[in-house]
Amino acid sequence: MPTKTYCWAIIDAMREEMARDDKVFLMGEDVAAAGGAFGASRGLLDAFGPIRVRDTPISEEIIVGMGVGAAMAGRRPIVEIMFIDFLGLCLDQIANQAAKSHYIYDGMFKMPLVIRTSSAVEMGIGPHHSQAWEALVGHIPGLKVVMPSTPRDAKGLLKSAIRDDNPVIFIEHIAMHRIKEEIEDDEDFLIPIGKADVKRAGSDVSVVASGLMVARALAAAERLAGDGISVEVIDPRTISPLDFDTISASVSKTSRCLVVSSSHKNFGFGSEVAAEIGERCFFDLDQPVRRLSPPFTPAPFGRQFDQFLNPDTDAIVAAVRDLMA
Amino acid sequence: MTQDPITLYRSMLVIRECEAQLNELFAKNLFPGYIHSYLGQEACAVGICSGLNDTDYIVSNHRGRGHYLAKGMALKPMMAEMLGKATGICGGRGGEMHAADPALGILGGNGIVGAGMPIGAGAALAAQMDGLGAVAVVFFGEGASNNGAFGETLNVAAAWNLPLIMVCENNLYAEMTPFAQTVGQPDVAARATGYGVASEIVDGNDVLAVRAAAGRAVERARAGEGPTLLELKTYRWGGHFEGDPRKYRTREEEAEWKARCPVARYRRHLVALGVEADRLGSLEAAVAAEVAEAVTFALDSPLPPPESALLKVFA
Amino acid sequence: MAHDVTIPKLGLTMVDCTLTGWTKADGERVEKGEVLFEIETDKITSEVEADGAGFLRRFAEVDTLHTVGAVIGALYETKAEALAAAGPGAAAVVEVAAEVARIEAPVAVARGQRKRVSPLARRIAQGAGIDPGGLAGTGAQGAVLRRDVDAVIAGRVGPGPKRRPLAGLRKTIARNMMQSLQMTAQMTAFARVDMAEVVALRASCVANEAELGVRVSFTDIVLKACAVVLARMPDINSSIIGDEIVTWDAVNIGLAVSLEDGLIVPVIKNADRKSLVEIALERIDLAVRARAGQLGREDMAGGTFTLSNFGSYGGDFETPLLNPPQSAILGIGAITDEVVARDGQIVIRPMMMLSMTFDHRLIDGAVAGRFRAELRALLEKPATMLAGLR
Repeated sequence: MPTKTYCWAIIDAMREEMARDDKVFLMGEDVAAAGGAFGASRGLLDAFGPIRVRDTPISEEIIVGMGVGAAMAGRRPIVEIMFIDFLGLCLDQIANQAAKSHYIYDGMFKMPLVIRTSSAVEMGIGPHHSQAWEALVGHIPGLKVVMPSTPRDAKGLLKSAIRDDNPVIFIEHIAMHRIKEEIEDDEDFLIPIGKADVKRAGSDVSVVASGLMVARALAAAERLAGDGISVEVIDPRTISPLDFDTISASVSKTSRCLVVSSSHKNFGFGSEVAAEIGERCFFDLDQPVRRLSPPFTPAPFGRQFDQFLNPDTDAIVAAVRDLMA
Repeated sequence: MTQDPITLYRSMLVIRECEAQLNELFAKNLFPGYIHSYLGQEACAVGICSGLNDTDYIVSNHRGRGHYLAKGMALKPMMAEMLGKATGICGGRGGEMHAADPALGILGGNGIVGAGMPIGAGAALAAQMDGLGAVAVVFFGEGASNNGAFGETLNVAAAWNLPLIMVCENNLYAEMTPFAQTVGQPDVAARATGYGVASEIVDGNDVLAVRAAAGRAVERARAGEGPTLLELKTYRWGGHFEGDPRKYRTREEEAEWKARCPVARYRRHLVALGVEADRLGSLEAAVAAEVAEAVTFALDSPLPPPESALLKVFA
Repeated sequence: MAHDVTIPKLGLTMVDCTLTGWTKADGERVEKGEVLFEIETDKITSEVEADGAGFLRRFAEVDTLHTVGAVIGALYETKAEALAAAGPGAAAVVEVAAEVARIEAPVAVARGQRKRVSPLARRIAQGAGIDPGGLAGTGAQGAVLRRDVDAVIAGRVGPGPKRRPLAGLRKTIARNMMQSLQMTAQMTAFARVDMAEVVALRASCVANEAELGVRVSFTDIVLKACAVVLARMPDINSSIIGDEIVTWDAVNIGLAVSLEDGLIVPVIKNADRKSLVEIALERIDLAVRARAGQLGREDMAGGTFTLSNFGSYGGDFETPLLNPPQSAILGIGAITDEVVARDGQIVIRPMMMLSMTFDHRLIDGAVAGRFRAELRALLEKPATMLAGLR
C-alpha cells in the first residue's frame, strides 16, 4: 500500500472523485492556481481545468451559497472555506440553506455539497484562526460533520462525503497535514460517514478523542499501558451524526470514560458525548464521565497560549489515572 | 417561451386572484402564519417568467407566489403548500415562504432576505457548466440589495460571466421602512455599474416593458454575455405582511399606485388591441372560479402528520 | 436577640436524645407553646413545645443525637435574620459525635449524607443481593466502586461489620446498664419457691376470668406479693441518692417489658394498695402501650423496685442488673415440675427460682434473705397474702 500524507490523501480523494464523476467540482479561495492555501488542492487545476477548479473572490457567503445553488441544479460541489473560523460569514448558507433545502422541499432536492474547512487549533495563529467549531455546526440538523484524524480516514471519509447526497462539513487539521499513513490503493476505498473507529482496544477506560486529540490519546494510552492501565481510544471521525453505538458499547465494557476535545467544554463535543453516555450507560458507569477541553476563553496569538489551553498527553494521562483511582 | 397576450393576461389574473382570495382567508382567520402579499407586482413575475423556459432556473424569496405561478407551478399544490397542507407541493413542510418545483427550475423561496442571490448564482454556474444555454433568475426586493450577498453575487457573476439575471422588484418599502431612507442611491440598478454588470431600470407595472427587458437580459445571458441587473419599479399594495398597519406611508400614495394597477393597465391594452370585453370578462370569471377551487382544495386537504417532521432530514 | 432552642431535660435520668423531627420549617413563625420538635429517648417520643416565640432557624438535622441543653436551633425576631443565621450546627454535631465515639466507635451518620456508590457498583451489588451502601468504598470520598463489590462477590473480603449509630432506646439501655454496674455494689441471691398453691390460685382466677374481667398472670401474683413484702420492709424500698438514703413513701414496681429492639420498664405505682385485678389490668395496659411505643415519661418514672420475668423465655435463674437508683430487682424463672423432698418423701412439685439482686451498699445479706423468705412464704401460702389484703 502506498504511504500518503494527510494533505495528499485529501488531494487524492478529490482527484479520484472528480475523475469518477464530472459533476464534481471544486471552488474556494486560492484553491486553483495556488493549489490551496495549505496545498490541499495541488495539481487539480492542471488535471481538471479552470471550469471545475475555480478560485473565488473572498466572499464566503457566495462560496457556500453558490455551492448550494449548483447542488440544487444538479452539480456536486466541493467548496473550501479556508479556516473554520470563517464559517460565521456563511453560516446562513450552511445552516438555513444547505442544511434545510432537502427537508423544506420535501426531499425534492438533494444537497451533495462538501464544505471543506480547516481547523488550526494550537497553531498559534491567533483568536480568528485557532478555533474548534465542530460543535457549532454539529448542532444543526441536516448537516453531517466529519473530522478525520489520520490520512487514511481523511481520504476514505472525503470520498464518502463527495459521494454523499447531503451537505457535509469536512474539517481538516492543518497540523496533521504532514502525518503519513499507508492507504489502500483503490478508487472505491471509502470510510463510511457516521462510523466511529476504535483506534486502540482496551478494557479499563474509554477515551473518546477527536481530531488533533486522537494522537495524544494514543500516546497517553501507550504510556498508561506501562502501568497496567488498558485504555481504549475511540475516534468518532464523524462529529454528526455521532456514532453513539460504538462509544456506548465501549463505555459499557470499560465503565469509565474520558472525552478529549479541542472543542470548548461549554455546550461542546465532550458535553454531548457525556450526556448521551449518561443516558445510555448510566448503570454501567463506575466513575463520572470526565471531559478534557480548552477553558472557556479565546486563544490569543502565540503557541504558548494554545499549548497552555489545549489538553496534552500529560493531561490525558492524569485524567485517566484519576478515573482509575 | 412565447406567450400570446391572453395567456400573459391570464397569468397576471391568476396571481391577482390568489392574492385576493388568500387575503380573504387571512381575514377569516383561515390562514396559518404570515401572508406576504404580491398584490400590485403581478407584472414583474409574469413579465420576467414569460421569457423563460422550464430548463431555466428561478430563485424566489419570501414574497414568492407570483414567481411560482408565473414560472408554471400547478395552482392547487401551490395553494395547498401555502396553507401547509399535506397535498402541498412540498407536502406542507415549506408553507407560505417556501415552495419549489425542480422540474420547472423553481429552486425555492426563502425566509432569509437576500439568501437566494448566492443560490441563484450557483444555479447560473451550474447552467454555465452544463453549456445548454439555460439561465438563472433571482427575484429579490430592493431591501435585499442592502445585504452583503447582493454585492458578492453581482461581483462573482460579473467575474465569471454567469448567465444570471438579478431581478430587483423595487416596491419602495424594505419591510416596514421606506427604501429611500436606507440608501444614498435610490436606484438599485445604479450599483451594477460598479461591479461591471449590465443593468436596466424598468416600469415594473408594465408587463410588456418588463417582458421586453427580460428578453434582452436572457438573450445576453444565453449568448454568454453575462449577468444583468433589472430594477423593476413597482409598488407593494399591501403591507410587508397582511395586518401590517402601514403607518410608514399615506393612503393617498397607495391610491395613487393602485390607479396604476398593472393588471388593469394590461387589460386596457388588450381592449385597445380589440380583444372583446366579454371574452376578458369570462376569462376573469373562469380564473376566479379556478382559484376558488384551489382554495377549497387546500382548505379541505389534511395537515401533514406531526411525526412527519422527523422525515427527510437527510437524503 | 435570638432565643435558643435547646434540648430540654424531660426526666430524672435523661442525658441525651435523638431529634426525630421538626414541626416547623426554617424561617417559619413559631409561637410560644406551639409544638416545635420531637425527640426520642427511652423509646418514648416526646413532642417539645417552643419556650419562646420568633422565626425559626434549625441548626440540627433530624436523626442526630443531642445532649440535654444542646442548642439545636434558634428563634429570631425577623424571618430574614432567621434565614441568614449560620448557627452553631457544626459544633453541636461534632460534640454529639465525640460523645458517641467515646462510647463506641461508629459515628452517627445523618440521613442527608448519601453514601457514594457508582451506578455500576450499585447495579452489580443489587444483582448479587448485596447492600452496596454497607460496603467500604475505595473510590474518591469513599465511593463504592465496582472493584469493591467484585471483591465481596469473589469472597476475598466479607461485607464488613454492619454499623449503625448507638442511639435512642439502645443507647439509654447501654448507659443505664453500665451505670448500674459501675455505681452500685450488686449481689445476687437465689431462693426456690414451691408454686403449687400459686398455680392453684392462678387456675382459679383464670377459671373466673369472665367474672374478674381480666386474665390474672403468675407475674401479677408475684408482683402483688413483692408489693406486700416491700410495704413491710422499707429498707428494701429505698435508694442511695448522692449522700442520702431515701426511703420511698410509695411502693412502685417496675415491670420489665421486652420489645423488639430493647427492654423498657413501665411502672405500676402503689402496687401494695392495688388488687390483683387492678394490677393485671394495669400490666396489660402498660404492655400494650409499650409495644405500640405509646408510653409517656410518667409511665416509666418513679419505680422503687423492679420485677423481671424471664421464665417466659425459658430461664430458670439469672443475675439481673439493678435499675438505679433502685436498690433491688427480682427475677423470676419458669415454673417447672421438679423432684423435691417433702416430709421424707420424694415428690414432684411445681418449683420456681427467685433471683434477687440487691445493692449491697444499702441492703445487707440478712435483710435481703428475709425479703426472700417472706416472699416465699406468701407465694407458698397465698391465702395468707390474700387474707391480709385490705
